Formats: sequence, C-alpha cells, structure tokens
Amino acid sequence: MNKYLRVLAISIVIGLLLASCAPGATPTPQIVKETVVKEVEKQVPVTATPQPATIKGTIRVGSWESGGALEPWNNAIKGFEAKYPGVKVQLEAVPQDYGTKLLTQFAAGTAPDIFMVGDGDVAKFVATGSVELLDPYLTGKNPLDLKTFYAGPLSIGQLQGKTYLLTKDYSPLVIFYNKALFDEANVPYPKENWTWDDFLATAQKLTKKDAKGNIVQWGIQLPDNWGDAVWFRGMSPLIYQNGGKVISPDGKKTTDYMNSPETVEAVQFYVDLFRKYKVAPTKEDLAALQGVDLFQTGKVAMLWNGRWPIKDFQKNPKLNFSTVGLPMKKVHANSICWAGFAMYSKSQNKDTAWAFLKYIAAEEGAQQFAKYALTAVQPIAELQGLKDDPYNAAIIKDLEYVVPLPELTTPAFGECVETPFKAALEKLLLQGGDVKAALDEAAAKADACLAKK
Amino acid sequence: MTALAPPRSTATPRRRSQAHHEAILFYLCIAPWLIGFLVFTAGPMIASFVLSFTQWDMMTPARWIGLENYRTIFAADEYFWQSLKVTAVYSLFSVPLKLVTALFLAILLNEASRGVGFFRTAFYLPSIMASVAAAVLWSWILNPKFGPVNGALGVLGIQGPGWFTDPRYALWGLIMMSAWGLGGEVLIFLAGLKSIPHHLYEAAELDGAGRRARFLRITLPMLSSTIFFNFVMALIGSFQAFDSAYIISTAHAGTIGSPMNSTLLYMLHLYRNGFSWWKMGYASALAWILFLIILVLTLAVLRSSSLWVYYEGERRA
Repeated sequence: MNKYLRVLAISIVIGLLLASCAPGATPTPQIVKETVVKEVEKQVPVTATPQPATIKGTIRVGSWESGGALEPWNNAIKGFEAKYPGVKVQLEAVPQDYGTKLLTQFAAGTAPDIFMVGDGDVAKFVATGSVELLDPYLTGKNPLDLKTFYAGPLSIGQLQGKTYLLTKDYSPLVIFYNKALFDEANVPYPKENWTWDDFLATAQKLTKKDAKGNIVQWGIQLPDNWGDAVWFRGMSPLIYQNGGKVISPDGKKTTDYMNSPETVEAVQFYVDLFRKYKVAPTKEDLAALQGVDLFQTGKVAMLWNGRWPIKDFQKNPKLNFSTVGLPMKKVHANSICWAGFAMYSKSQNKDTAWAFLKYIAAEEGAQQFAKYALTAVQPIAELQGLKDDPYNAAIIKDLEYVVPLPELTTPAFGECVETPFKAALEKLLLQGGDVKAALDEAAAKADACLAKK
Repeated sequence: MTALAPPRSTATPRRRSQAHHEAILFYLCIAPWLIGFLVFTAGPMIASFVLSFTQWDMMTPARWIGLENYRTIFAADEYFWQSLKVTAVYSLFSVPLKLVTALFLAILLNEASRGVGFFRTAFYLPSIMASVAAAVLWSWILNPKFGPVNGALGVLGIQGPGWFTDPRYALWGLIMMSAWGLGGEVLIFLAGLKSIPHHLYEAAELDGAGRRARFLRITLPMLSSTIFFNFVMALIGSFQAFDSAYIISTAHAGTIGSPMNSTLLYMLHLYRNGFSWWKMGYASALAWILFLIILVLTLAVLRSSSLWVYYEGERRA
C-alpha cells in the first residue's frame, strides 16, 4: 500500500509540474534556414531589386487592435504569404494591456519581430535600443524610397534624421459640425481660416439653455478622448496656434516655454471656454451623460476630435454634418495622433521582417490599412481622392499645419512634462485660479524632473 | 494535519525506515505547493527586493543604484505622500464600514427564518462581480444627475455632489464601492455566529440580560476571533486596493488618480511608476515599502489581540 501511494504521489507531482509549464508563444528559431540565408547573401552580389530567396521562415507581428480592426491585418498577411511562399506570419493581437505585455516581452527578449508603437512611446522605445534602425534597410538590398510618404506622418517615426518607424495610420484633429443645428440657429457654417473669435462667437450662439437655466445644448465638445479630462494632444493645437510651445526643442527645459505668455494665453482661452463662457460640457456634465454620443444626439453643435468617428457619423442617416479645420490665432496649427510599425532590434529574421514591414507600410499591405484610416503613402492617398471628398477635404488640408510632436524631444516627456501639465490643467478646470501661477509651478516641477534624467 | 507531519525516527531500524518512507511521502505531497511557492512567490519577492536597488526599464539591463530609489521616495516624491494619505483615509473608513455592515447583515441572516439562502446569495454576489462591471455599475449609481444616490439625496432636499468627478467626494465613492463587496466577511461572520453555543444565550436570558447586554457580553466576545480574522484580512486588502480605483479614475474621471489625485491609492502610484513610466526598480522599492507598512500594521493588530480577542475555552484572570 505504501509503495502504491508513493508511485501515485510521484505521478501526481510530475503531472502537475508538466501541466503548469504550458508552452508559450515562443518563436521556433529557424536556425538552419538562417545560415542558408546568410550564405546566399555572401554568394549573390547585391543588386537594387529585392531578392525573394532570402525571405523565408516565420515572423511574429504584435498589434493592440481587436475585432474588425484586425481585418486589414489578416488581409495583408494573406497577401504577403501569397507573394512570398514559404513565409509564415503569426499575428499576435493583444487588445488588453498591450504595452505591459510588450514590456515583459522585451525583458524576456521575446518581443515580436514587428510591433505597433503609439506616437507618445516612439522616443521611449528608441532610447532603450529595442527598435532597429531602418536606414540600412531603406538603402539596402530591398530598398524603399521615403519620398512615397507624406512628410508630416513620416517625421514622427524619425529621430535626429534617422528613420526608426514607418507609419501605419494617423489622424489630425478636426471640427465636426452639425449642419441642422446651425441652420436652426441661423448661424453661418464655419469656414476655412476662421479665428478664435469666430470660433467663440459661433459656439456661444449655439449654446442653448432651458427655462430653468440648465444648458440643453452646448456649442462645442472639446477634446475629451477616452475619458481623459485633460487630453494634452487634443488641446495642444491651441497652444501652437497662439505661437506657444511646451518644451524646448532639445527636450531639456520647459520654463519660458510652458509658462510663456503665448502658452498662458492659450490655456486661459481653453479654461474660459468651460468656466467663463460655458460653451463646452465639463467633466461633470459628461459624467452625467456617459455613454451618450453627444454629437450624434444633437446635444453639442460642434465636436473637436480626431478623424475616427467619421465612419459612424456617415452611417447615421439622421445626422447632417460636415467638417472644418481647426480655428487659427496667430498661425494655423494642428496636432496628429499616429501609430507606426517598428522592427525589433533582436529579431532573428530581420530580412523577412523588413520585407513584411515594407509590404504593410508602403506596398499592397498599406492599401488594406488605407481602407480603414488615413494612409501616409501618397500614391494610395491620391487614388482614394480624399482631397476632393466633402467630408475629408478639410482633414487633408489641415495636415499642412501639423506641428512636430513634443513627445519626440525626450523619452521622459510623459512622466516629467505631461504629468505636471495635466495636473495643473485639471486643477484649473475644476477650481479655476491663476493660469500663469499654475503653469509656472508645473514648469518648475517638469524641469526638476527632467534634470534628474 | 498531524498525520502528514514528518514523524520523528524511533528506536528500531525497521521503524526508522518506515518513518523515512513517510517523510519522503510527506515532502512529495507538499512538493507541488512548495515548488509553486518558491517559483511564483518567494523567488519573485527576492527578485523584486534586488530590483528595488536598481534602475530598470525592462528593456535595457538593470543598473545598480543602491538606496537611490528609497531616498527619492521619501525625499523627492510628492505623489508618494499624497498616495499614503489617500490610502490611509481609504483604509480608515472602508474597513470599519465594511466590518460593521457585514456583522449587521450576518446577524440579520442568523435570525432570519425564511429566504435565508436567497439573501445569503444576494449579499455575496457583489464580492465576486468582475471589477470592471462593478466600476461601470457604480459610476451609474453615483451618476450626478441620474443616479439613485443623488436622487435619494434630492428627495431629502440635499444637492448631491459630483461624486467621481468631484475631488472632495471621489474617494468616498470608492469607499462605498469597497464596502459593497462585503460578501465574504458576511459569510465568515455568519459561520462565527452559528458556532456560538445556544446555552450561553439561554443562561443569560434566565439571568435577565436584555438584547443589548446579550449582544455586548456574549455575541461580541465569542465572535472576537472571527472579528480579528476579518479585520486583519480587510486591513491588508484595503492597502492593496487597485482595480476599482484604477478603472474609475482612468475611464470616468480623467487620468490615474483623478480628480486631482484624490483617488491616488498607493497601488495606483506604484502601477504608474512601473508600467506608465517604466521605472521598475522604483516600483519595486515602493512595493517593499508597502509590504513593510502592512507588516507593521498587522503586527500591531496581532499584539493588541491579546487584549480583546477571546478564544473559546480560554480562561482569563
């Protein structure tokens, strides 16, 4: 009986241990094929045309998208595998906690060969050496001419003139306006080159109160994306439109930039829209109406947002809307939200990864992504004719005014600059106060933090 | 339990080899747990301790910086003190609220005659609800214009506050949310109540003790060990609270700790440093400081227990 029990105990232990060591999604190292690839490179002289013979094996691709957004991925992968037989592409979609998972994969050295990066993270990822420099590939055996891209989106994947990432898609900010509400209030539609004063006057005319004095319709819903009360990227165009800045070009100092008179004036205007003129719903108003699309239900006459909801608005037969570029003050200015593709610096199959990257960023793969969002590839964009489309024309026009992202100046932007700025802005929005004093304090905190980096 | 304890070897060689066999069997039986503990708990704890003396962003190799993280935490991190304050207030109010309410409900359940099963389930369900669903639910319950809480306050003539968007009240919303998840405590109190011998109550009634006296002199002392257990578990849990505060502050109020850092619980501050700002060494240092704080508080409660916790069968002077 004792012996039986012992055998049973040992087998249970072994069984449990085996069960707990579930195999993860590690790439099977194609060691044999890699040596073949290297040998072919040595034998065949370098030519300008791509050599499919060197593109073999399996690569992994990481994305944070889910559901319908994976369609272009699946189509692009199918097309790539058909073009280069013998290559397999594994898509690893991580809809939740993509950033956290990617970090752990970097720590373990098992990150995907190609992965998506958001605009705010570009500087951070490049600084840690996890992103492969693309310049040698651009001019190598499988070259790519950067002139095929629009300069604005391309520049976000470039640091100090060197290219690290290629664009997936992007969106500048735009103002949607509800034509029916404008007609009802007898207000002329906003026009290109409208100013802050035009903007404020329009919003005031479109803000309606009921008999008790409660606001039933606001003139404008200001940037409030993903529930973020102080979405810096969304409201930063106001700062640039007034000629202000947030950080020095070398990314080391914020004093005299974040609290410059121009920036203070812009932030004051933004806060006044909520507190003084009351033309925009505050966080509290939005909390009461959570889940309701204010623009589609006619509760706001204008919406300041990125391009993303445009397809939903177009599908709504009851919504009669159009788009216009952001207002100007001293200059036109706009900001961009951007996502790009990066190659892992420790990838085991870089030639294949580059071929896939080129495919999804500039070739037939890019056409798939262009069906869902703005593409950075000029020939594809021209074929789509967006410049003449009544809804998209204003968005394309505003691309000219996109300002370089301050996030690219320093990897510590999120921690050192955005955090105190957002805290100051949140306090101003909730409790009012002196804008200059608040921004002076934020700049001092930001500089103290940057000095330690 | 005693059957599994490794037996001491006794005199004869035959008995010793049998004892030897039983010892091997013992270690084999606990091996899965032991290996799991070493690999998934003890090992990472040691790694985290070592990491707390480094600067590590998970992509470049860790860089040894000695006590620099700890120095920064205590001397140069304003959010650290804010998060301690917020967590202390949260714990101070949510733990008693939870325990008192749980005890009250358990007493009701104990005396109920009909539908006990239904109510027991109803009180327990919230504690196993997914935290995201609970957060969405509570953002509606505490909705400034349409929520039932503000509606009820309105009936009494009080203008309900903005709750999760008001820096003065957001934390109270979180405290109410935490008290709502009292299912586990109710069940444990119920079990404790049912184990109090009836003859004590009967004897007290015969001696003329009223309801209040019976509660204070019999129920509470006999329950004190259960209260002690629930108290320690709730205390530890309140310091580690993360889910609901994270979801409420990022999805409904703005950014981590919104509005205005009034919901910046300690674990939120830790999460932000580790995963938003990629300062894993710093976050590890924060984690160990939290461990020490919880350890000290738990030890304090343990020490005090000799004053107020009464175990059945004990005799006190």
